[in-house]
Amino acid sequence: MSDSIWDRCLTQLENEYTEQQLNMWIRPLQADEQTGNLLLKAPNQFVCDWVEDNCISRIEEILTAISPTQNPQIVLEVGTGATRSLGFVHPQPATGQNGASDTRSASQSATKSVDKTANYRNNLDPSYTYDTFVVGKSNQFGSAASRVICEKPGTGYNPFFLCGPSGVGKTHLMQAIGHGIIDRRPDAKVVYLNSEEYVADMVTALQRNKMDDFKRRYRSADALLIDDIQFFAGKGRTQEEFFHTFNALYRAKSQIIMTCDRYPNEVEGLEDRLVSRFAGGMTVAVEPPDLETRVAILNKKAEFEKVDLPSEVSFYIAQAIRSNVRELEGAFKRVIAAADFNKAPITIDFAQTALRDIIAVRAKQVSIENIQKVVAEYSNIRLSDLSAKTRSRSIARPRQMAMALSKELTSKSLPEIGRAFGGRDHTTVIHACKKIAELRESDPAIEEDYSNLVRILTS
Amino acid sequence: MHPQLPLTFEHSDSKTFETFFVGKNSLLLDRLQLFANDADHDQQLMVWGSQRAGKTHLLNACCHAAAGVGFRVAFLPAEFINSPQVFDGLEGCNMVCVDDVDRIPRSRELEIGLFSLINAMRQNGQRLIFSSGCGPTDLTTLLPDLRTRLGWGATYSVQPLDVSEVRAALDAAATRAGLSIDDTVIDYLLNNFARDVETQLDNLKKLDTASMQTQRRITIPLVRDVLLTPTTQSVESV
Repeated sequence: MSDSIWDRCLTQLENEYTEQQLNMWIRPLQADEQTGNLLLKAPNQFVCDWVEDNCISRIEEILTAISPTQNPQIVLEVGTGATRSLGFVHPQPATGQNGASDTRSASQSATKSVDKTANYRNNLDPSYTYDTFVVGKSNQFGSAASRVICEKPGTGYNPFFLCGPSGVGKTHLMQAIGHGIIDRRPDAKVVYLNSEEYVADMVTALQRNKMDDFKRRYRSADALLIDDIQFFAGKGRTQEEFFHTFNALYRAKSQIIMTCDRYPNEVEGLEDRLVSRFAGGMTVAVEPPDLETRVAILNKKAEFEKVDLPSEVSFYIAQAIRSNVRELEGAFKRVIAAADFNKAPITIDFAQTALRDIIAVRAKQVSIENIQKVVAEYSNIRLSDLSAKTRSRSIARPRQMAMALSKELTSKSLPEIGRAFGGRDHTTVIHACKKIAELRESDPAIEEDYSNLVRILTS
Repeated sequence: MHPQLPLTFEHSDSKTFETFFVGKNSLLLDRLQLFANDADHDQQLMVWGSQRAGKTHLLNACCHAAAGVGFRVAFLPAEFINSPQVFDGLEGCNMVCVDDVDRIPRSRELEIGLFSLINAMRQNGQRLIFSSGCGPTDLTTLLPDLRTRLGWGATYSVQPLDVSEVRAALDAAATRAGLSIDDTVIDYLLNNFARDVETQLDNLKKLDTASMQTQRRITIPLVRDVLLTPTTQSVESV
């Protein structure tokens, strides 16, 4: 553990601020002690203001105590510096249409800037290649067209517009094209970014009066890949600028590839001139993957992770998770994590257990209202009987059962439970719970009913 | 008589993995510890479950552990997310925890802010943990682009403690705080207040404070005075 001044200061602050205050305001600070002074960089103005108002004087006191002779000055400002690279970063291929590897090179982050240099380094995700892209019915047309672009970028399908719902693999395919272009022409300047980054970059350029640099950066690309273009909607100044960038790239026969969650003419707030240009090349819809493709994605993921995933388990997961590829991969990771933790082989039973909460996520939360409804149906009585004053055994027993279940399956207090059953006192609930506990011991039929109801309510 | 000033309960009972009552959440705890201690290669996790199940505790515990291995971390609770600028610069952190994503105010700007943070963090090779009251597929009111990204990593539900586990948690917390509490008092607390561990531990904190200030033992009458008084309790009047 380092014993820098800031580390020693942090150790002291950890005794004086709550865990949440530390995590919200103090631990996001980045310290730079190289100048002999302590430069504290806050990620944003909110953090900076809080530290200024609540803790900077204390930091000064601590520093003075730690280092009375040096008396370092503290400078607090909003800013970012290089974050140390994490230990886990090592390129690893992803699998599946959205399977961004969870392990990207930290150096990649340093290449987010897209300046034109002699040795331009692209900022593509190394895992988004054709090797890791699973072709199925839902994307085979787009995939085939994209191969043509790799061969002759900027000439045929330009612009190339991929549309489809979130999480179906548009970004993966777009970046695979980028890699394909670079494979054939290693010096090609392939620029990938999200539309939001483009907007933010432009705002910064405007604020700093650096629009010429901004234009040069994007208009000098050999291939410009812009993700989620729908976020341009309603941003007139951005659209204006992008219109000219588009035209410049098009004239220069540079390849333009865009993704969007819908067809260009369906994006509200997108200028007509952009719509017509976007639709002027090749527009391809990417659909959610079908069952076979989802199975293939899982199998490929397992292959890369070196995990033994039986085919019936792949089918089970693929059948259960249909929404999008990201969640499919999330479910896969969950099964792998559970298998690793339990040191257990992955079987269909194991996968069912591991994914129970994900698959049952749509199952209703157990509430007193739900318990009352289920118990009333199970006992063939009316829902209102549970709250009525009736004391006949045919009503009272299910009522007691429902009270006992409410105590076991919800976190409601006894007075709350009593109130939900016709305003009864909490002592009535205590009596009901005691009675049902006794009956479950002595009467197998009651025990069976109780178990059935618990199963119905929690399955 | 002036009440005795209590020592704060807060720091001795901080939100760390060590102070989390595990119950049936062994797998979740194991994965979060690996994740926060830089011992696995996942980039993203989601923890979901009912309110007061311990999600906030776990996210803070992750920050604590990650800071311990030298990570620059940030914790962002939903109630603080009222401007997209709160996300600014966080992509420079090694790990960001966003608490209660289901409770972020419905705003396209805020959702796009979080969406952009996720993209930037993933592109930078950094880590994200989210908590939510429901699983990602049930976050149906969010932008689809954001919703699918929230479900990118493994998701784990937090299983609330059952009543015997809450009782054990209360016992352990009382012992740690040097309190002596009869079983009858614990029964009373469990029967008369929500039986989730956070509520019960909050109540224990209040009782500890009141007990110190008034020099009274923690008994059922004190519990009634402190926790069942209809108006905001002034311990000086106890």
